Amino acid sequence: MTQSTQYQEINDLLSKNKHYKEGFFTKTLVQTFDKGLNEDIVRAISAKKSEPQWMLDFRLKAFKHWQTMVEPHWAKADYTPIDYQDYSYYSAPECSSCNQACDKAMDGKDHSQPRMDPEVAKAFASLGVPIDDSNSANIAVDAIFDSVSVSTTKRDDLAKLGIIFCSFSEAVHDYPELVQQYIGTVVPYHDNFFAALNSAVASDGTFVYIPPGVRCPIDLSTYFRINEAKTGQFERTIVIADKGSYVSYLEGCSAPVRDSYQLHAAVVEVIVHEDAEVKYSTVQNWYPGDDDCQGGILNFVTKRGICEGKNAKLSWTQAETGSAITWKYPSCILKGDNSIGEFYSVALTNRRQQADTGTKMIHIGKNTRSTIISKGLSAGRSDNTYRGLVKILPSAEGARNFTQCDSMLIGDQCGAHTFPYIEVENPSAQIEHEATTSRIGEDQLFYCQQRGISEQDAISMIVNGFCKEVFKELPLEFAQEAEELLAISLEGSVG
Amino acid sequence: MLLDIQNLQAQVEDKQILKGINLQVNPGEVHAIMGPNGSGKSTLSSVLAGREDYEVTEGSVQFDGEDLLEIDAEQRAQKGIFLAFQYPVEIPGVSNKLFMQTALNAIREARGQAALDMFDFDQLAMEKMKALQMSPVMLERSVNVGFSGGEKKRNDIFQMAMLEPKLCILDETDSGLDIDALRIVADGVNNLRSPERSFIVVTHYQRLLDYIKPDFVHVLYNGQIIKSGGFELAQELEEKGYDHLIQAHEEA
Amino acid sequence: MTTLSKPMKKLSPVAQSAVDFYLAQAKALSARNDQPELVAFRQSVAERFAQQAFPSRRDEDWKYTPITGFLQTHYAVEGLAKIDEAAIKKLLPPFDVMHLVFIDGYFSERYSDDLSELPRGLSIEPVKDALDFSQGHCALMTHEQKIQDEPFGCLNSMLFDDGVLITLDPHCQVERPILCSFLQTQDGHANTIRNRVVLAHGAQLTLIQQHVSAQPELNAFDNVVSEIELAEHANLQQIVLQDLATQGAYFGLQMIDQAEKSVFNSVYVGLGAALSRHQNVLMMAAEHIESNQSSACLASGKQVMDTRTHTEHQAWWGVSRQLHKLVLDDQAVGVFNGMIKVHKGAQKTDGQMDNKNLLLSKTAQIDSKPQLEIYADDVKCSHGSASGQISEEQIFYLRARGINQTDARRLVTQAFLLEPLEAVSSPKTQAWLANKLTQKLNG
Repeated sequence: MTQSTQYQEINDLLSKNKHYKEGFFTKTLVQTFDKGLNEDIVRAISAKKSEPQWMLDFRLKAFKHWQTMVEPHWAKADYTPIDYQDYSYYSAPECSSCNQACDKAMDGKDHSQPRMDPEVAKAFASLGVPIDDSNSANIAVDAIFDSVSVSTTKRDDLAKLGIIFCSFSEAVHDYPELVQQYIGTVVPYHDNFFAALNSAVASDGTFVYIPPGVRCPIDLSTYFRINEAKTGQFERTIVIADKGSYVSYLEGCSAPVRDSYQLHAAVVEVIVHEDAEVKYSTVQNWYPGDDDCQGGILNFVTKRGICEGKNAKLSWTQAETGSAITWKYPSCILKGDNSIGEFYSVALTNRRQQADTGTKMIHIGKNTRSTIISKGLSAGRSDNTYRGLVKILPSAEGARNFTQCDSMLIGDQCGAHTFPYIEVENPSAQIEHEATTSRIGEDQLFYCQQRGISEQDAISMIVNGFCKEVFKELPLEFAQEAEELLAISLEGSVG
Repeated sequence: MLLDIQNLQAQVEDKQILKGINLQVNPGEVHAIMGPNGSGKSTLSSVLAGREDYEVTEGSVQFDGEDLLEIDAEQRAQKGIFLAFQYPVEIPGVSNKLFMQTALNAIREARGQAALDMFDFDQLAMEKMKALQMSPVMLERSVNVGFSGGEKKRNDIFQMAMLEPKLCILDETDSGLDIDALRIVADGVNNLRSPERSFIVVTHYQRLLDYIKPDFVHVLYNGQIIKSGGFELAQELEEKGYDHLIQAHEEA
Repeated sequence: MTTLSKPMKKLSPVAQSAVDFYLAQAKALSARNDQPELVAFRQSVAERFAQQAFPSRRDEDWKYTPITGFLQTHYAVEGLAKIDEAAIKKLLPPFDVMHLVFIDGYFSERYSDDLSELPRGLSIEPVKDALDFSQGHCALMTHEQKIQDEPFGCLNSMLFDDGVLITLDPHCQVERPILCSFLQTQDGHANTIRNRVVLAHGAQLTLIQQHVSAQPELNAFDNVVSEIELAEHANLQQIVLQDLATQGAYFGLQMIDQAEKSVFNSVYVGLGAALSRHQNVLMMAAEHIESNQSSACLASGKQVMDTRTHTEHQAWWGVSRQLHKLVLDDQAVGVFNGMIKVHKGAQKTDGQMDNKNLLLSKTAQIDSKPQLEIYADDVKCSHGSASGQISEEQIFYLRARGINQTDARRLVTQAFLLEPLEAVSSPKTQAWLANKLTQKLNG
């Protein structure tokens, strides 16, 4: 069998599930700002959310700085420069029954949230997101629809433990000291082009605070849904784990099928204090676009955490299957002695998707340790790039890093790239970096088939085997979801 | 009749390798296919198992009354053809357990049997492994990754025991095995012998046949069976070598 | 490869004054030359150099290689050497070679072996004599654009006046290694060298290039560009030994083209210069090509040593191997940058790149960037990079066998550093190089 026929067959097999199943569109009354971005828009967003002056000041400062910056194009992803005036920067569903915007933060105090648009509720239900507080799921959910958080569950149970789990907008009203204390401390507003944009027009997001010594008993989760066309989503998430606490935080994303690019530029800041641990898991399934990735999400995300205190631990796990373009480097600043940073990633690209993703591990404290496991799967005509930095500062006595980057190519029209940067300024550090490239061998497929396993099952088994080290870091349901997503996303592997 | 091969001709990349093979195998029979390197032994195994690099240009193969050449490799496996590979393949990240459970349940489904759950599967696997003197840890390890040559072959025989095929094709299973490993593999095969199950043992040397006594021995040369006989033919080959036979064949 | 940020970038006063200085040097050089085509060529390069100028740390390919120190000294091109007979004697290794001597960038007929009695099929010519623009573009220069894309390549094109042109006819196999010694004798001098090595079908050669200073305190600047072309079945064993005084600078750029079934085996040994950067740009453009690129660098004091490779697999069944080892002591900075690029359709590529670094002091530093860019699926590519200090376990093991701490450290470091030399096929040459490395290690 020639290679091309083999891939044609893989292609056919994988094409069975030809649809992005989250691609439906919810029809609801919305309030959407006109397209365009200027200082008035920034002020209007802030006014819409009845924000205090300090938040408006933060936005304006960021916006001024953003205007001086140029869109970065160093990543291995080709896209035409984005017309930022062609997007709307605020969109929120209105409630048809009460004819009033659902934005909870309007009054800042109402926690009963009875007014969700039934259409929006239906949308989350069909996405399998439990937004009803009566659900027995062992998980608390903050559901974000376009620019606003529409529901946050289990917050009362959590409040009894002193845990704050609410939308970012609410936190600005209810916990201004905490927000002011932490916002922009890990990702300053001037950090990069997209972080500056986010700081100016941040729509909503999630705020998590775990008090000292508390182990959050359930997973906290945010589900992001972009619904409106030509609307940017700019959520801002802050997770703070105070001394000796623990939390596992999950996020999932999806968007309807559209024919023009949609913009997503989020900022996530994680602060981990002494002896605390944060596990941050993402399953990113933004709409990748049509066969040429037209209409897919442009995903420019700045995620960074700091292990502030001794023995702190921050672990990023991500399964990235969606988006037309992914530009994302969840990073750890290991400041506290003995702190630990981890990055586990599976990134799958198909069709003409382009992913440029990786991490930065900045070792500052003594005996800090980091582990990077990156699995890149390229199919179709896609490009998949790992880009990462491991930096050992002179103070990081005894630091350790282990990095493993594996790429798998499915088909001969795609690309897999590895661009690691290693900077060592302390001789006691031990750094190991390995990278390999492989593919699904014909002999492997035949071996499986000879044992009675269909080609499709064999491919999905081999792909999941390749990703196993990462999936085992995801919470169970998330791992299953990720495995299924891989199978679906591999559809039409070769064009 | 379980397997009926008529005038089978096959080529790979335009090179004719099989030039008209005729072979009949009844249930319970053990056939040995012997021959020098390059005679087409492995090609025959691969064609029967359905490897797609080989193109069948002529002839027919009936298996259990069905046209074998019409169906895919996995369907052949599901119908009961098992190939023990000369070089068992490594699959990193996929545990032996997951691999075998997926395979067994696919085959059970094709036979109309219910899938085995984790517990039944484990129990069955443990039994079979014990018989082959395999350590249970092997189940957790990735398929053939980091296995020694002997372990790989034993793993293939273990899979054979699990899948309970009708026709087992052993493709040079003896190659690269020391005498102890050979004995364990042969014992494993002998334990699977039954009046319903047939074997085709492809080998270069007589060594394996001392342990797995074949009912019939066929000598393959240049893509054709040039001589068939009983076990005594294998002994004759051991004494006189292939050259003697080939010479006689070419003079005839 | 370098694409500098677009022209007219803002230069620091130090960089601008260096640019102006070298432009003036080019003018002075042209004033001494009567070939109008060469003068015109130099002028066109000068225009480009004026635009492109020197890189800064903002340029991705120069992020880790600081050249500010280098820019503060202006190295002049004019003037010829006082020759030191003793220094020439010391250049010869303890094995038989064909010796070509270049003093301060110019071929010295007097100290070199007689070029009129070469083996059949081998031709050696000083570039100064071979430069001939009368047929339009000079046949010497096939990679001119790519060379000029590199900032120091551009400087080389603007200032080179000599070098060596070695050509081997089909099936010519030269047994005796050719040794090119590039000797610096003058302080503050820029030695700009352009070499070209062409091996025809089935030809075989061992080429050793050494860069040395006549006095240990010399501060001079070697800037060498070599173009290497290997035809089908050709085999080149190359050794570059950079053993300059620790004040000066060394920039080496090699553009290598390989044809079908050719073999390129190159070992770089870096010992001297305050700032050094050795770079291979290797194109494996046809099927069944083999290449091996290794380096062993030992830096101490405030030395900055940069070794880098760019390897492109463009066709089926290419095999590339790389091992780069850096040992860094005191406040030395080591840089490794490697890229394996596998083009679409270059199936069955087998590419492997290893970088290992040993840091001997608290203040030493290493920046490593091993990269893969892959557009073909049926390939085996890997890279590895490891950095750390000497394994205490190894030291303990040696001490438990009665070896004292200092010797144990030296032994382990030596063993670490000598591994890349295993790629050198001649034991005598290997021993010679090992001796150079060990001397510095013990000194």
